[in-house]
Amino acid sequence: MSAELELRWLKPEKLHGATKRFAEFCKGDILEQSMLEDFDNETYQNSIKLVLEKLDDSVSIKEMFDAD
Amino acid sequence: MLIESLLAENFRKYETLEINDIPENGAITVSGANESGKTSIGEAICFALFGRTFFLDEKNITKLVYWGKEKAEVTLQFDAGEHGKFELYRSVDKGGVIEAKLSKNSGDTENSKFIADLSDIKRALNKVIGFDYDAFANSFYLVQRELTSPEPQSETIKKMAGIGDYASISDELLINTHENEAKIQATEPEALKAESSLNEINLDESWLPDLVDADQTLETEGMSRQSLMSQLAQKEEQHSHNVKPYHSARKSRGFFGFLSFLLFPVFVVSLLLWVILKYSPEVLDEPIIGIFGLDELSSIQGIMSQWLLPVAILSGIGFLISLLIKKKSVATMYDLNEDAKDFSDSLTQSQKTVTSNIESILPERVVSLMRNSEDDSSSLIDIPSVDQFSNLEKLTENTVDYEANLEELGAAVSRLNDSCDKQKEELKQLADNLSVDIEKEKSRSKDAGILRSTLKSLNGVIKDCQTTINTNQTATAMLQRAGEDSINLFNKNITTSSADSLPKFTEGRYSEVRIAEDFSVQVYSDRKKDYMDFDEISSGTQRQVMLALRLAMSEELARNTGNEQQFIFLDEPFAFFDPARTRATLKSLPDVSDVISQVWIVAQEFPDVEIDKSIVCTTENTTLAV
Repeated sequence: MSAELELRWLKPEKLHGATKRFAEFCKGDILEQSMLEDFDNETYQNSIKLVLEKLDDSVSIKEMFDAD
Repeated sequence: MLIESLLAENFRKYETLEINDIPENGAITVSGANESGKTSIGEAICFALFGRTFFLDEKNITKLVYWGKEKAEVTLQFDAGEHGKFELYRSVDKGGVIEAKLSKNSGDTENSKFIADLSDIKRALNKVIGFDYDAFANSFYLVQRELTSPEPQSETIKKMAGIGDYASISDELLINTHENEAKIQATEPEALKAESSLNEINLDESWLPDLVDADQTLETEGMSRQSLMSQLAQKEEQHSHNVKPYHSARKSRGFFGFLSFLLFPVFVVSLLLWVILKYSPEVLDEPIIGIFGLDELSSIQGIMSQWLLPVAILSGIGFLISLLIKKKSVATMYDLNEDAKDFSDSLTQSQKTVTSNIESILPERVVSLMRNSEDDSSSLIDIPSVDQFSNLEKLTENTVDYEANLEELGAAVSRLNDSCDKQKEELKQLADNLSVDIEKEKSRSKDAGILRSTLKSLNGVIKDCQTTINTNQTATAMLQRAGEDSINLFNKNITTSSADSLPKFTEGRYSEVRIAEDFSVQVYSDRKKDYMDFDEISSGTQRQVMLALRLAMSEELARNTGNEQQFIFLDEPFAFFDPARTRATLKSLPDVSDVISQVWIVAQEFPDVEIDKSIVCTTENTTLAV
């Protein structure tokens, strides 16, 4: 398995809840999707980042309390 | 999320309610007769978290205020796992004004940070505990009512399965995709227009450099002709002036060359004779006697001794002077010859210049342009015939020795000057015409540059939009697959978890629950050795099955919202349970899940089993401190 398909940058153990579950799913899904002819690894990885960004509220709890 | 303490004042039937030292794991029982305030404990927790209860929404929330008091207040301390520990205060007065404050317990009570804005608190709580009121009411908060499962397509189920945000993200991505498609549709015509305009310009990148080079060549050629003209005029004049001095110098060189040729032997002979006469006169006696006779010997010797020395000196001086003058004449001729050669070279160069074809040093396309713009009589294209300068070669040869006929030379120079002058003027005209073409080409080049830049920018926009669309579509498909995977995993986990708890609740009579995609439930009866539809089993067993499902779903929700440990509040879960199953369920409840570890159970009374904390409510007391 190539390093790119391992998604080393994606670390489910550092995530929580639904985001963690999604990251775990992607680790397995990329292996299946990479078999398809029209698979584009860059687009796939950008899509993961996009979804993770939307799943993970950009404002941290610490920031919420520091804002006051 | 685990509850650490609960404090309420003037809430429902309680003037004061205080529950501390709540264990993280195990069963916490709340018992008491009707109207003893058992349910109020669950309502206090629900109000603190969400500003409402199951029975009272925000519009009717003032009913929570204790009779005769102004304000009901609840303070809830809870542990949100890795997010830390928090204290949540919420109050409502008789006017319906709600105030709240969420503080993060940092150990430093004086400097603890807090949020007081209601919407900020709602957002922060959603982040800290991961669920909203709907999810809470369908999972961790079982109210005194029929046990039911959530709607299969409800947001709660999606949240439980961990895909609560998938639909909204997919919708957001779809909207974004449509926006990008619209942007492409709006941009493409602009890009096509720019491309079409660029094609119309049909710019040849090498044309402008060719024109500029040609312009510089024409300028150089013009300057060259100007220089030749001025040189020819100057050198011709110089040549005319030099003719006389050259011929004089040549004559002088001939005369004094001959003179020196004569004087040198006279000098040598007279000097030799004088030396002999002076030092050995007897040597000459015999020749003199032989020529003049003995009688003339003394007179001849006398004459010789008187004249030989002066003759020698005078002839020697004459020889040296002649030699010097000859040398000077030769030098003068040499200098004048150099000037003449220079003039001759200029004549040759001028002839070559005016008879060379300008086309040979210009790019073919520029020549073609010149041919189109010039009349046929151009002296640059139809160059002067070499015949016009047929005698120039002979003249050039003779010029070096100043032998050329000055009149013929003047005429040749004049013809050359005329040709040069005409060509210079035409070169200037051509350069002017070319400058116009250069300016036009520069303008076209500038327009093409602007169009190319615009086209690049528009194509960049289209490419970026397409990349975003591709990413959005890939992300949407990914979310679809992830959602299906999560639902499958959710069903599997629910089935597995229910299969673990159900035998405990039913004393082994039912061992397995099967859940279809539409969340219809079938139960496997060990006695009948077959699956039974949900409505085939007794209402008591139905509630036991639904309780098992509720716990399993709550566990999934807790996992998918990042809660590694979670409380659950079950108000009268044992209604319709027979005593044996009540006992079995009560004993097993704290152990059915690793995640749902703090189990609050409300009932009028409990069988005699070991429990971790017991809260007993009485009808008369308005104060409860445990």
